[in-house]
Amino acid sequence: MAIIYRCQLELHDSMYYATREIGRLYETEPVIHNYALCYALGLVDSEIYSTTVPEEHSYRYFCPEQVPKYEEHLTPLNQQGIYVTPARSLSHSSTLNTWKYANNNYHVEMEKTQKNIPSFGRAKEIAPESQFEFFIISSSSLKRQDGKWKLPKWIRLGKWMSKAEVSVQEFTDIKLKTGEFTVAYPLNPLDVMFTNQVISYDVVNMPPVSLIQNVQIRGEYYQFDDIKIPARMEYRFSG
Amino acid sequence: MSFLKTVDSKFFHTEIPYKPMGKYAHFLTVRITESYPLFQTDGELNKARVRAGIKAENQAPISRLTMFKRKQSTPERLVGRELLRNYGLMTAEDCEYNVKFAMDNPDCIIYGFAIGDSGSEKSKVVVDTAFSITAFDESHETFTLNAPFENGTMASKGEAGSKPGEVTSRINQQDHIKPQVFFPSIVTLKDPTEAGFLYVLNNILRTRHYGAQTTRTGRVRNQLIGVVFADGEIISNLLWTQAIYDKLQADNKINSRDPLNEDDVIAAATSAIETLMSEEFIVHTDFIGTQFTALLNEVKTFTGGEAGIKEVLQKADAEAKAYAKKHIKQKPEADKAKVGKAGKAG
Repeated sequence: MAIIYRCQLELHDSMYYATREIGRLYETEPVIHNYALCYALGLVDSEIYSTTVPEEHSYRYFCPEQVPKYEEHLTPLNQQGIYVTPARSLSHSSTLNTWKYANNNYHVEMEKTQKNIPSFGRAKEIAPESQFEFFIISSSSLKRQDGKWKLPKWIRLGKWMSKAEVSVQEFTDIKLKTGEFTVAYPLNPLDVMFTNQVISYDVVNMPPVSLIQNVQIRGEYYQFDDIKIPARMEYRFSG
Repeated sequence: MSFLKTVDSKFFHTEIPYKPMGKYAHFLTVRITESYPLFQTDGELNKARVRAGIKAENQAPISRLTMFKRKQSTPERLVGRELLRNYGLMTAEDCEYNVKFAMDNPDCIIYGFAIGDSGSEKSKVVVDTAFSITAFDESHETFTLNAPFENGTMASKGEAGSKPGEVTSRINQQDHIKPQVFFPSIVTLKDPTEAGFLYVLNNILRTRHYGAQTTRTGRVRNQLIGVVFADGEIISNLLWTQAIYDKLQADNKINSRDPLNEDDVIAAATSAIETLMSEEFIVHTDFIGTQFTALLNEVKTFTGGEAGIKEVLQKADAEAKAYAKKHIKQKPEADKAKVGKAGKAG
């Protein structure tokens, strides 16, 4: 039987990524994508979790091209039976920040931009001390031999690499049931729709895979501590 | 060849690795304002509303001034770039900040760059937003700015067709951060070589101005209190700041009318980080207090003399060049053209 970990995140800095771009305004939705969490938690390409990827796909400091490799990176997690759900906000507030590129010339003249890169804009960010919650479903324990967590206590999230504190709670008394139920947490539709029947949902628009919430769903699910989450979720990239 | 004797060479790489290898050097600094800096967007100082301290009695939120991360790292980068140019290791033509990155010098490799289709180098230096220990309302002042005439008054003598005796409207108000406001801040350097470590540390030590440059008033001093070598991330600036607040509050050192005493802050910052680090469950070696003084003095012997700093910069530059040659291969011209066409067709 799987072990389920309920993880809480507390932001210690403002967190930003562009969920939506409205002209020069970049807005952060208070939902954290499960792909992002896998990277932030260090689950991808890791010896600790036996998820190392082939050398040509490995994470490097220098990236010759801006092409994500979700499939290559996340498939090893399926093989190890590790699945992370997207995170929802428990409490959050947002702040607006303006950013611009600095210039180190003594004399500055406004020039026409040659590249299609914004030099200034406003970012709606999630404020420090906001809290998020997500689950890790794992077929093996995420504790080390000495009883401490394999998971890091401090992770970095978003475009500004903002620090967040992770706290973990373990559930082992889990019941596997079948039926129709409502999920109180956001889900990645690709990961759930091939094994469960999704009846109704709201879309949270978010690249690269929009998430769904308020999901009415039929199929197998885990129940623990009054929480129901779909069973058999795994990273899927094609039907 | 190695520079430092106080630090075990196991904390450094012999060459810059192309993958994250889990070596971290955390510089613990308290940034102290010495004049009236300006960290603002949209005409307002940056601030955040967060819990005052960690202790139960200090849980009520206060507004704190914030120094956003890039407003800390950019001036430090620019100081390093200035030095590289001064010692002939970089030219203004080959590499211009945020305009054209040469991709093969210590600045580009250590602090990172991103250039559309030429790829990107992730920054090995990570800085977090720093929060003032004291509340916003005690830490700022409103200034009236004016632009007087040649005679020093605000009344026109009939200059450039204006009406004599008319009072100019060239007047404005602006909030500034007061002197002696303290921002505890941790600068994290991932996977350092020894020269890279010295390069970044030297930049932090030398940077004297942060915030809006046009105001000429942003003097800030970095009071380094230690370095932590670890195999992962350590506590946040926010938590450190809150722990310092708790200590100062417990000792009755926070008096809203007076600025904080620097010695009190440094003592509280040192003991707070020691307590917090003892609660972490990663492998770490701390250089704090007298141990750090020895390290800092040793660093200063290199960075304080021309021969020493040149040697550090040259070593860092050679490492960056070797890394660029090995891992950042320039695409041949023909290849570039092909990519361009394919991109358009796609």
